[in-house]
Amino acid sequence: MRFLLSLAICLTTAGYAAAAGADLDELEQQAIAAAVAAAEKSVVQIRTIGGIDQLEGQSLAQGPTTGSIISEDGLVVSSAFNFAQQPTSILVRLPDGRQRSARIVGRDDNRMLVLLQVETSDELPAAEPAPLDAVRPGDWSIALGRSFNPEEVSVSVGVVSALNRMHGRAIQTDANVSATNYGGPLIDLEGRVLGILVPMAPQAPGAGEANVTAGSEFYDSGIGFAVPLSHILSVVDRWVEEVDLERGLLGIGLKPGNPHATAPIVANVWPRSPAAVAGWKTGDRIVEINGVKIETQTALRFQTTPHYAGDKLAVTIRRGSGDAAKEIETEVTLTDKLPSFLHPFLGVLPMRSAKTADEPKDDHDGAAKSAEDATGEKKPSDEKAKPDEKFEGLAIRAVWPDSPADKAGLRAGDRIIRLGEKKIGDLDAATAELNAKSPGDELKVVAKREDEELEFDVELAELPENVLDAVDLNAGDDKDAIDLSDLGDPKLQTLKLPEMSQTARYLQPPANGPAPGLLIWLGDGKPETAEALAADWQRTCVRDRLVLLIPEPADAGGWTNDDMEYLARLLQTAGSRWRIDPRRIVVAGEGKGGQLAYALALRGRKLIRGVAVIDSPLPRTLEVPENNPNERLAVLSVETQNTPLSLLIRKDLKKFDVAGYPVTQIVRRGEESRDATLDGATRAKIGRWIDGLDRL
Amino acid sequence: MSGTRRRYSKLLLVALAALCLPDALRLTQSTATAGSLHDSIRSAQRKVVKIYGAGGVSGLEAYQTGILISAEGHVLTVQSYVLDTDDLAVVLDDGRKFTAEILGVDPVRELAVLKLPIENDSLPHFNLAAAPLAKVGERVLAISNLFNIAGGDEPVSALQGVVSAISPLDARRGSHQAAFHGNVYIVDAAANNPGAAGGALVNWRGELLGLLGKELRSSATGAWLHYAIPVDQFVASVETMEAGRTVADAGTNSSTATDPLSLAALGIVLVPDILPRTPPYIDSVIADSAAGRAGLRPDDLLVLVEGEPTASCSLVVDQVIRRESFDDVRISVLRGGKLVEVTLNAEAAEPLDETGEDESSSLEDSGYPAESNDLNGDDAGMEDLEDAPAEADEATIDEAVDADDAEAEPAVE
Repeated sequence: MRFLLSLAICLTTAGYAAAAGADLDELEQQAIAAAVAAAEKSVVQIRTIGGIDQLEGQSLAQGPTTGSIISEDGLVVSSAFNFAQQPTSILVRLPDGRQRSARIVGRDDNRMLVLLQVETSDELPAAEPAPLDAVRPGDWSIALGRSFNPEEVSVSVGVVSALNRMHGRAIQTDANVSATNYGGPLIDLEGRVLGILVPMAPQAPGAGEANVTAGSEFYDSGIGFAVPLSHILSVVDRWVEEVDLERGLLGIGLKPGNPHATAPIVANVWPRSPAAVAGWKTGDRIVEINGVKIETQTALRFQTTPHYAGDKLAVTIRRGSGDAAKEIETEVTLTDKLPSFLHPFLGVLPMRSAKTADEPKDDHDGAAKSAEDATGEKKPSDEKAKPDEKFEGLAIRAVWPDSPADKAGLRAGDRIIRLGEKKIGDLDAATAELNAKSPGDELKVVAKREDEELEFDVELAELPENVLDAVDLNAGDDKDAIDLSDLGDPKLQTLKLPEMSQTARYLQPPANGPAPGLLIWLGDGKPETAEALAADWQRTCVRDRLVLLIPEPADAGGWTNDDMEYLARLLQTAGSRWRIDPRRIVVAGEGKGGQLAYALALRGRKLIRGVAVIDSPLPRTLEVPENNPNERLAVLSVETQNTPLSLLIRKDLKKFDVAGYPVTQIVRRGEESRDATLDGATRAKIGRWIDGLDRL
Repeated sequence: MSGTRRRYSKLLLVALAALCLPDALRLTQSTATAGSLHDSIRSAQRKVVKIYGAGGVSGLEAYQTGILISAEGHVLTVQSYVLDTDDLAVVLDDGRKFTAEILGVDPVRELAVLKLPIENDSLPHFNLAAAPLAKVGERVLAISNLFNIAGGDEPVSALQGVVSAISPLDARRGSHQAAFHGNVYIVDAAANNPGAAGGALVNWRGELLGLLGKELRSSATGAWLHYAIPVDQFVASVETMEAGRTVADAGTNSSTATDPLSLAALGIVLVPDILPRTPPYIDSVIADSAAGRAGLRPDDLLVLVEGEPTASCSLVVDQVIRRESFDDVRISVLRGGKLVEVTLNAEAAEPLDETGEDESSSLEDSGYPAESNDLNGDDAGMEDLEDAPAEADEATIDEAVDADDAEAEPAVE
């Protein structure tokens, strides 16, 4: 009996299915049409006017785009992709055909969205959000756009492929998503909005500016993303208030390893970052965020990426190992921008090479000797086999007055053998150790004085912006090592690079001695100017061991951007030819030459340690990059008093200052600038500034 | 950008799926009134042919697709280099192979009609006269020999999707603008890949909706388009081609005025058109003119002409010269973030009534002149700020250098 009943039910169902099966396609078709009809009233067409045509070499779409009305008072959300050209004016065409002007309220750099306010006096039909808890992969999803035809939305049908993609920021769909519907809604079969369509690509944690076109290369591929409307509605009040919603950053680096399998252990904490403020330290392991246990780096990103700058996270970290391990509950407030890196300053000038002091007396006829040196042959005498192989630490040539080292009592002649826990054998080790510190950090310095080991507690400072007086530098004129009274006429020599039309002239210090510094002077290219420069700089070059290199532009009319390639190669060649001290490579120039010096310095930050400009503002096309721990660059600006450029130049220096570079300013009196070179006092200051660049 | 040229993804070979349907399901479906999806695909495949001709070098495929449009072996396909051969091979669904001749071509739609050497046959074919129209959102199938995947003795491929949009074709191939600008069906299947051109777009009953076109990129977005030319756009052209004639270029069907209106006649002078898309700001307004009387003013951004968006100076001119000199023309400008609409008539001596829809449109709004003046003042101020340093930048450096030189020379002497 039961069997019969089951059979009957089966048959009935089968019969019903057969009848319905035939119409199923038709029913689905009708359901899709009904969903589109319900949702299209809040899909608008956007037109932009003005702005740029290209972004990073990529042509930007200029056609109409799509937006979605999310509030009755005229808030429209769209994809940041549609505004990449930074339009000057925006027109929104409402579904009923009326045109309205609109303005950008703000951007969401974490989800690649733009919020617009449409000028309207009447209520607009806002999109209805779909409740996301009920959505499952496999559910129908329909992508709508209004770029093709303002009268009728475009439709692409697919399914929800996944939820919580892009570290919890987006729904994934296989419906076609492209510039034809970015900014439009992804709807469910009831016409409710699941999310707003955007191009999205995973962003490297350290990536700089958010790229609004990233992910657009996946267009129409079956991989499309939509930012949940329910999320947008939950932040819209804050969005209106804060204008721009930014990605939230912690300011930590993680120990390397497969992100899906490696526990998140802090490798470094960016100075003054949210993590630093919360007291996180290298070696801490993140175990829980907002009550969610964190096992891997990926799990960490799922908890942090969805958040904006300003959001607070409750983070539990574990410090120490074994029995000593303790869990610490912290609260971090994410930031949109990490503070610029500032190099710390201890206040010592390192000895350049142990053997120098004994030898230079032989070098009276340095100019003549260096002529043969120009053939590029190496002298056997200055080989790297130092007599003092045994560990002696880092000898101090001079102590910077009023620096942390000075205050702590370090003296010239002391040898630093330990910084914190780290044994210091040479200048590189000391630099690396200090690059990982910040101004304000406390540091224990262990130094040898004679045979005595002394301990000094110092609080690191910011790099100084003053130029030392001659007397502070032990290598001043008073030192009897070199006789500077009778140098004779400077001997300029020429240097030509293969396959390059330009020539450079140079003046080099006596051959024997520690590695020289390099001063590239971008002058006007005239031989007489070069002669005058050489005469002026000869003493400094000999005393401070500095190669003066004066290139000439390819075009007699002056420097152009085409000379950059030549200068970059010249820099390389000079570095190996004279085995230049990598800490004292400076590029300098006056006026337009100074502008080129800026360009060269910012392009060659790996090599160039100082840029000195005279009455030169930063070229308009250059942006000042953030200071970088491993690429030290110091800026020196000489400014003629009452120059009309003063305001501009100071604005540029402020940019460098904010970005974390040490900026030194010298003002010279107007009447002093009477020749093509520089007055003696200013020149001497530049010389001492260069001489102090290897400060620590 | 030289990204992936072809999109293989979302390539649903529904044909195979349909062939694999369990027998039981086929039984139940056979009782349904409408044919199954499988039947639709199979029926359409029989009317689609593979065409092999010239090409095969430097990335140019030597194959495309065509559809049978008569029982006597008329084949409709796209006009392309593939047809540039004396040995044009057409392979039918039943495996028979013929050498076809070209009867006629349509250079605007880029279509061609071929004739197979068959008389009094009864080939399965699409009936162009009975083709239905599709709606946006309607499910469709693209039937073609894309990528020559069906190169053997096997049916061509079927892809499923929906009609995404019905929109005028605004597309290009390289730098060449496509000649055809009529409405096309945009589909969300990856339908237009190499070899697919000339294939059939059919509905789920297997009825012909359109002919798959050549690979083109959207002029607006630069993205590859997937589209088909609707039957009603080419049915007349096919009759001409079948008669063995080449379709004459009908010329542009954009409306041109006999006595075109001009901006000057309205009293509007736009800023000089120097960029590819110079924003159409009004540079000056002739005082005693329609524009002057209507209260248009310098720095207004002219964004709509008769409701048509005009994002650049050239688009404004395009729109204006379509009107007759005596026409009323409705113009909207953006001023201080507000949209202001006026109606101008070049030949009317008196100002026309305002036709603005909302309160912000009214030019009699007393706030306007003062506000605008303020805005102008601000703008000028900003220009000063932006331009001055740049000029100082260039000029003063030169001056400084010159001054230096000038002073330096006596010193050298």
